[in-house]
Amino acid sequence: MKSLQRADVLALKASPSVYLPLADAVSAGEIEGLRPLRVSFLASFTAEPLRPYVVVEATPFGLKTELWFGPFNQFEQQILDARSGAYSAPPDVVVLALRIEEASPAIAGGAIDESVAEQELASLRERIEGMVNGVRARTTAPILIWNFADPYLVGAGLADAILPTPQIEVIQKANAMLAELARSSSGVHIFDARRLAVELGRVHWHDAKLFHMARIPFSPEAQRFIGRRLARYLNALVKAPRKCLVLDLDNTLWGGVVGEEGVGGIALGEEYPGSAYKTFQRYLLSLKRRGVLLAIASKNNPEDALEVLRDHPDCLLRPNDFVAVHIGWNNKAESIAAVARQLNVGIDSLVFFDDSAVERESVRREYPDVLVVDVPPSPLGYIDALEDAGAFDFLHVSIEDRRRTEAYIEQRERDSLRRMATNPEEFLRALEMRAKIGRVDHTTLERVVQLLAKTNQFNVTTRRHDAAAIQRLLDEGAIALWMRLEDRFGDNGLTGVAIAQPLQERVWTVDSLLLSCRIIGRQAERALLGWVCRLVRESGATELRGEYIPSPKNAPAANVFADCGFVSMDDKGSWWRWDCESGDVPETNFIAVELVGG
Amino acid sequence: MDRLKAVVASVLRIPVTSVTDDTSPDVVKTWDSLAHLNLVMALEVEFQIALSPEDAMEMLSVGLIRAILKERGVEILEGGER
Repeated sequence: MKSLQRADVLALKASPSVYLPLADAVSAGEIEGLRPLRVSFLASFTAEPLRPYVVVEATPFGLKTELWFGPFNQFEQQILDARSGAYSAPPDVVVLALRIEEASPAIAGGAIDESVAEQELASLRERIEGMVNGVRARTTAPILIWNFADPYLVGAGLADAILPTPQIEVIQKANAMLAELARSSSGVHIFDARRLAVELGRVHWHDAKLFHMARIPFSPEAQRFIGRRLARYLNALVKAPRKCLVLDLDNTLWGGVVGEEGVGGIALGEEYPGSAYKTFQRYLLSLKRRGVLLAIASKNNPEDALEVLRDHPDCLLRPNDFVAVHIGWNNKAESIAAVARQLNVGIDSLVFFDDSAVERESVRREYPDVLVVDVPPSPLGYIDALEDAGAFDFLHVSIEDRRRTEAYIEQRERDSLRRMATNPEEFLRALEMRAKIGRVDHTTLERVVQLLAKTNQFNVTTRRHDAAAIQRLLDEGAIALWMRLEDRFGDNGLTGVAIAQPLQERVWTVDSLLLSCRIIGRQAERALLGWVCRLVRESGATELRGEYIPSPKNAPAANVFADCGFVSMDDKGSWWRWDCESGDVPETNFIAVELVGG
Repeated sequence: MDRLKAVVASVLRIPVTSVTDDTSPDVVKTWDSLAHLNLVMALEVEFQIALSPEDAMEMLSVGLIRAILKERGVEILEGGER
C-alpha cells in the first residue's frame, strides 16, 4: 500500500476486518511522508477498538497516529502518575473521553431535582478541572475533552420533556460547563461527542451487547464515525487551517453554464436542482462567517458571471463576499497563483473547489500544495465533501476571524490610497494609524496563539508556541505583548505579537516577533519592538538580543532588527544586539501608540 | 473463497491459508479478548447478522463459529449468499 486517499477511505466498510489490516500497514510505515502524532487516550469506557478507525481515517490528513490507551475508566491514577504510559512517550495530544453514564450516574439516571443537579455539576467541574491541571502539570500537549452525549436511557421516560429540570437541560448545562472550562484554560478543546451522537442517531450509536461484554458503548458504525471525526480534530489541533476557498462558478455555485443558458436559464432557486446550489451557497456564507476568505476562478464571460452575482435574486453570494475575483479565459492554475499573490498568502493556504475533474487534476499537478477537494458528481454532496476535507476546521473562532472578509475589502481601499500617494511617507501619513499595545492575558491568549500558529512571513523565529507554552514563558518572567492597529479605513484587529524573555542575568532575548501580513510595511514593527525595548530596559537589563531564524517564507522579517537599530553579532544576520543604555528606542512618526493597562 | 476464513485472517492478522476449523484462541496468540470482540463485530458486519453475548461466548474456534453461522442460515462460501 503506497497511499490512502480520502476517496479510498470513504469507500471502506466499517468493520474491524477491513480497518485492522489497513491500520497495521499505516503503523508499519508503508505510507511515506506521514507526520507522526502521539495521542494519549483516557476513557471511561473501553476505547481500544477505536484505534484502527482513528489511524486509518487520519491518514488522508497526512497523519500517522500512534495511540496509547489508558486502562478502563482510570483518569486520576494515570494523570497524576508522571511514570504513566500517558507520558512515557511525550504525547502530542491528550484525549479525555468521559461519558455522562460513568462521570455522573445521578445525571445519567435522570429525574433529579435542580439542587441535586447543581451539586453534581459542581463536583463534575471540580473533577475535570483537576484532570486538566494534572495533565497540564506534566505536558504542554493540547487536551481534547469529550462533551456529553445524551445517555441511552431517559430517566423519566416520556415525561422527561415536561419536567421542571429535564435531563436534557442538565446535560446541556454540563456541556456548557465543559465549554467554559475549555475557554478559560490554555490549550484545552472540546470534542463535540454530543453532536456526533445526534448526527448518527442514538439508536445506531449504542451497542448493548458490546457494552455488556466489554464496556464498549459504541456500535462498529459509531466507532468508525468517531474515528473519522476525531481525525479532523487531530488535524485541526496540529495544523493551521487553510485561509481561502477558490471557487468555480458554472455547476459549482449554480447549475448549468451561464454563458450558454443565460442568467435566467441557470439552476439556482428554491426548486431542485437549483435548491441544492442555493444550499451550498448558504454553507459558503457560513464559512465566510468563520473567517474563510472566498475567491473565484472561473472560465467565463465576466459580464455574464458578474450579472448573476449582482442581480440574480436567488444568488446569496454577492460580489462583496469575495476577496478576489478571476473570471476570464486564463487557466485556473494561473488564476490560483494570482489569488495567492493578491491576498499575500502562501499557495498552501488555498483550497480549490471545482466540479470539473480536468481542472482539478491540472491544478493538483501544477500546485501540489493547494488542497483540491474531491468534488462529487451531485451538488447534494458538495457540503459534505468540503467538510470531510477538514480544510476549514477551526477549534476556536475569534472576532478577527469573523470580520476577515471586511478587513480584506478595507485593504483594497488602502491599496488604492497607496497608488494615489506620490511617496511611501505620504501614504503612511494619510493612513492616520493608531496602535494599542498591551500585555497578553486570558482575553487575548487564544488570538495570540492563533497568530503564532499561522503567521509565516513577518515572523522572525516562527516559534509555534501553544497557550500552555506561553503561560510557562510568562511564569518564567517573560514579557508578552499584543498589538492592535487601526487606521482611517478600519480596525485591523489584533495583528502583532512580541515575546521577550530573560536569557541570563540582565540579558534578554526576543523569543518571538510577528506581524500579520495585513499590516506589513506600515512601520508597525517599530512601534511594537519599541515597547519591548522600553519594558526590557525598565526591568534593569543591559542588553536585548534579537534572533532571526530563516524559514522558506520569512524573508520579509529578515531586516527588522537592522532597521530598528540593533547591531549584528555574527555577520550572518542571525543574532542582533540592542544596548539598553546607549541604544535608541525604535519609534515611528506615523503611528500614535497607546500602552493599554500599563 | 471462504468468507469466514478471510474475516478471521484479517482480524487476527494471520495468513488465510493457516486458518482451519481447529483455529482457536488456544493456538493463535493474537486471538485475545480484544481480538475476539473485533471478530464478533466483523462477523456481524460481514454476514449482516446480530450475534448475542451467548453466541460470542461459544465462538471458541473457527469450527464453532461456522456452526453458529450455519444455524443462522448464513452461506459462507463466496457466491452462495445473495
